[in-house]
Amino acid sequence: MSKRAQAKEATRLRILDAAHDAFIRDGFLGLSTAEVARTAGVAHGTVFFHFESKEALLLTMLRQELGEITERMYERLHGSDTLAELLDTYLDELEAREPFFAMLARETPLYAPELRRSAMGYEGAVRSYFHSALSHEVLAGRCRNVDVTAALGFLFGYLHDLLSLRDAYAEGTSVIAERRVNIARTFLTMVAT
Amino acid sequence: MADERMCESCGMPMRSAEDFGGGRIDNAYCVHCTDEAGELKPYEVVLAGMQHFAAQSTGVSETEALRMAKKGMAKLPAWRDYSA
Repeated sequence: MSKRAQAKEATRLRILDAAHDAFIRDGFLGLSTAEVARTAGVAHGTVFFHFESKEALLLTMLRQELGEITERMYERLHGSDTLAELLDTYLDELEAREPFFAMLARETPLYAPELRRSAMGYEGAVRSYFHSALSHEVLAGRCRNVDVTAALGFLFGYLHDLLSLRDAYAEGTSVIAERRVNIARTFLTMVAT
Repeated sequence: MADERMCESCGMPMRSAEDFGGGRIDNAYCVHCTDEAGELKPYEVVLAGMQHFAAQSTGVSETEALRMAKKGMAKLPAWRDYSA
């Protein structure tokens, strides 16, 4: 990579870092691209040179966060691990990124339909790993013959509830860390034979 | 992540040979978007697959899943300039 390309990439990453902090603090709805530019130390127009819109900025962050999560889950799934281990991996990743996903859970229902579809589409990639693992366990007779999509609806609905109201459920600490044993036990008992 | 390829038709990450169309790691498209020879399937076929995937993985209605699929595909190189 040339020095110029390196500098361009460094600027892009600085903008993403600033946007990440701003998103956790203010959400997408309250996020100011002018403030992101100030924090990153670039001109306001530079943000739009790298990202065509505020929506594109959010979707890039989301792709990055979920990309790292799906990579861990892919490794798990291909190591023939169990549904319990897949869930454990996901909860580890969610806990490590909790402020980001808590804000996303709070805000997604308020997004314009186009942005909401993209956000849900990205999350669908994570859900698909669970879909595949649970379907496999059902076929192998290790889980009861549940409606897999509905069962995952309960799991993700529960997680969204905990994340979107995290301050009420676990003030000042990680709600996932505090509830993970309960989350895993409840879900795995629900699908167990 | 740096070496990871993404299917230019559906966006799926392609990490091992079995993920690539026809098992060829130089294929721009994944195994789900291609036929047995590794050739890209028609738009309508890929769209139906994407719709099914969205409905199954997120639980949204079929209509919403179709909108999600169209939106997702419209951003990808294989279909960016496609008009149904």
